[in-house]
Amino acid sequence: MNNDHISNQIRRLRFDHGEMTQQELADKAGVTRQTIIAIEAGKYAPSLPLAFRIARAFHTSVEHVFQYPDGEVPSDASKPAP
Amino acid sequence: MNRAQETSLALTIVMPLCALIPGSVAVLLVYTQGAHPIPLSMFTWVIILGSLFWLAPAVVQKIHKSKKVVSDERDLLIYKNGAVAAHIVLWLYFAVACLVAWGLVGPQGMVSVNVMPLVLIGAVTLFLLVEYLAAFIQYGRGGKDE
Repeated sequence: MNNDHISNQIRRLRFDHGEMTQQELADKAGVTRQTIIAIEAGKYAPSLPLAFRIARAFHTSVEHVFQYPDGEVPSDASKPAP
Repeated sequence: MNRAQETSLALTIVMPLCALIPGSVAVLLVYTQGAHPIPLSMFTWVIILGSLFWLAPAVVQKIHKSKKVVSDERDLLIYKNGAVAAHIVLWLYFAVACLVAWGLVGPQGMVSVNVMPLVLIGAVTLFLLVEYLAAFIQYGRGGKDE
């Protein structure tokens, strides 16, 4: 599955929010616990709506939860839209 | 394991047993006894069973009406990837089936029409098996709750 090297701070944010469990975060984001595990491990890049829901669960911004490395532009991004 | 993962594992094991065995026996009966009601009813059983497999997850979710999330966008993506893998394998299967038939009977030979149900059942079984197996592999290990 595509992960696009997106890193995240979910583990740390869960710890900062009263040691929130993965299941609690999953319930708040409306996904399964396995998806939270996969996102946290960097094995799955969430969709934009899910990224917003996760960020909202932590009462913070998407950029605060997910980071994309600087200077790394996907090959498709340089192509003009059809 | 979430419910989608359990479903993929269960269907990987159960589906070939339920579809492949009655399907193969039905084809064998057609070969030996011709198109009698018994093999035809077995083909019908395989078709009904296949339909139930497709409908089962949606029906179970409707019945339970659980508020707990049982599948999400990742499950959908996994099943889509599984279907793509199954599609590729299906084409390879048909190519191999054609080449094997051609190789066995030669360019001037003929193949019985009884081979067609066999090829069809093999294709359906293989497609579902690859789809669910690919889904199960993509799920990987469930991970620990923290």
